[in-house]
Amino acid sequence: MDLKKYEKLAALNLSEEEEKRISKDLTDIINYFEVLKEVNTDNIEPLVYTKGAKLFMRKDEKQKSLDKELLKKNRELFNSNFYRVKKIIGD
Amino acid sequence: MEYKPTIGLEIHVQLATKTKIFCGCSTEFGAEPNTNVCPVCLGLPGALPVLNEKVVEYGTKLGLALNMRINKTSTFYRKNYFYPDLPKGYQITQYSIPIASEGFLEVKTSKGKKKIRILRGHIEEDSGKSIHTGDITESEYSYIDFNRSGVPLMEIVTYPDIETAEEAYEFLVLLRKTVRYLGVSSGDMEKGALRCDVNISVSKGETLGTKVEIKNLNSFRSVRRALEFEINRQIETLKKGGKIVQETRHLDERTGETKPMRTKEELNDYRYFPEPDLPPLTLTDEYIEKIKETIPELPNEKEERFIKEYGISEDYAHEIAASIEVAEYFEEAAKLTGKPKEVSNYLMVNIMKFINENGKSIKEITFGAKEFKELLDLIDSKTISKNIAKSVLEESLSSGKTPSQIVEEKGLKQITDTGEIEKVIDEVIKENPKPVSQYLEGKKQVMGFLIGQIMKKTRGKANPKIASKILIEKLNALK
Repeated sequence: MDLKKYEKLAALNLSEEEEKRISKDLTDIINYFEVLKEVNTDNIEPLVYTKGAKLFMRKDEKQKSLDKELLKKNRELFNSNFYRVKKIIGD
Repeated sequence: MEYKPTIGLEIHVQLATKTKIFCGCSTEFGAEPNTNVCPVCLGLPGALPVLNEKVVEYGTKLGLALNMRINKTSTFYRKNYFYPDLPKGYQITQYSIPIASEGFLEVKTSKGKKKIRILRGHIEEDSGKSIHTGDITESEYSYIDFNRSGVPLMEIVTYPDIETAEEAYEFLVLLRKTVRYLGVSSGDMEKGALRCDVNISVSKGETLGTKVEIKNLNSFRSVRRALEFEINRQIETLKKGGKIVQETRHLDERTGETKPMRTKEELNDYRYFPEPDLPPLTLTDEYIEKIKETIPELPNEKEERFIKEYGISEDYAHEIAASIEVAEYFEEAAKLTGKPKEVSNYLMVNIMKFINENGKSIKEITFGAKEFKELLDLIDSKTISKNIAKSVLEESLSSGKTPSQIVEEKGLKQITDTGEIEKVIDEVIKENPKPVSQYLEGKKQVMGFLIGQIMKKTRGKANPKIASKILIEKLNALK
């Protein structure tokens, strides 16, 4: 498994020790799927939701958005009406 | 053997709901930055999404209008990637089972009709918008406006059935007409309400070539230009023995060329998994049936009916049916006057010209079906000539006065009194000896000039039929 790739995807910076530990955990998890694969799942619908709750929908009605004064309190992030972050170039 | 392009489109349609897909923030375009935001669309910890029922309604409606199957159970997924304009670190979208599957649109091109199949249509949330001030390579920061974060989209994905830039263009045009007919989206590409990515490859024979993606095309013209350039570029590259690289490109609007985009290819791994905060969306047959009933007659159907029912030209029918408002205007006037051909003529030539030149919409003009009938009746009763009718129409459009009012005020009544016309003709014959003798020598084409002189003297009010009859009689008497 290419742990580096997943570190990058998850924007994580792991120490060598952490890498070792997580690599082992992930390998164990993946190996367990090999065990699960043996279960016969013919004629069984894929499960995407486990809680059994029904979807609740809202009407298309406006609700109050956040007060800008509140956003401004985060001086680290909020700058001249925008959230400001270190530049990232990509697509 | 010729190279053949294979093209597929991915189109994001912004759904015209008042509020966002998972929260009650306004979707208004052009609002002050970061004013329509809340814990849900800012991705604050603990905030939970609640689906907007209007999004489901619009998605169902659009799916049905695109001849798609509505899936009675569809599911939401998280598409994971890191980017500053995506505050949760994932986009809520649909994946394995979208709301709508398997449809088509039939487009008209210069080579005839063509069916373009649609693979899927899924509902999802939009991201925020990054704004880079100044030079993108120099500025240290990106600025983000989250007003767009959570605005509802329906993504339409076609099969790679498209073979020319024209087909792609016509597909988009028809899709825009359709969303506007349905009222589910403004369809404004300039405002980002319709965004198009294209996938294109060229090949000889059965095996498909290497696919190139062109992103962020923001006008109909751009889609056409980008495709024309890219088809040519790929064919030329292959002919020279070169290879096509699988990559993402963008269109340089100034030069009309496509260029590679900087991307993080290896990071194209979205690790989709089911959204635990949203149970599956289930729709009943009754619900789908109810939505079906709200779908109006669509552009293609209307166009065909106009040709059949009213006998107007194919070109006019196509243009009139392009907008539901123009189509309704036409139909009302055609019914009231009983003269659909005349209505289509005046509508497409004079009225549309007035509308385009003055930046108005058909709903804003005062010249409606009633005025149309008045105008055509004035022609019928020979009160005014067709030529005068045009200027009456133009005057009515700009002043808002009714046609009969204008005819009355300006004294435009056609002269049908033969005595009066004879008098004018006698003058014209006297004042133009040269053309008259030319006519007598057999040059029949000077008739047009002489009629013109009569019209000039009567300010266009002489009945042209009567005038030309008398003129011929008088000229022949001179022989």
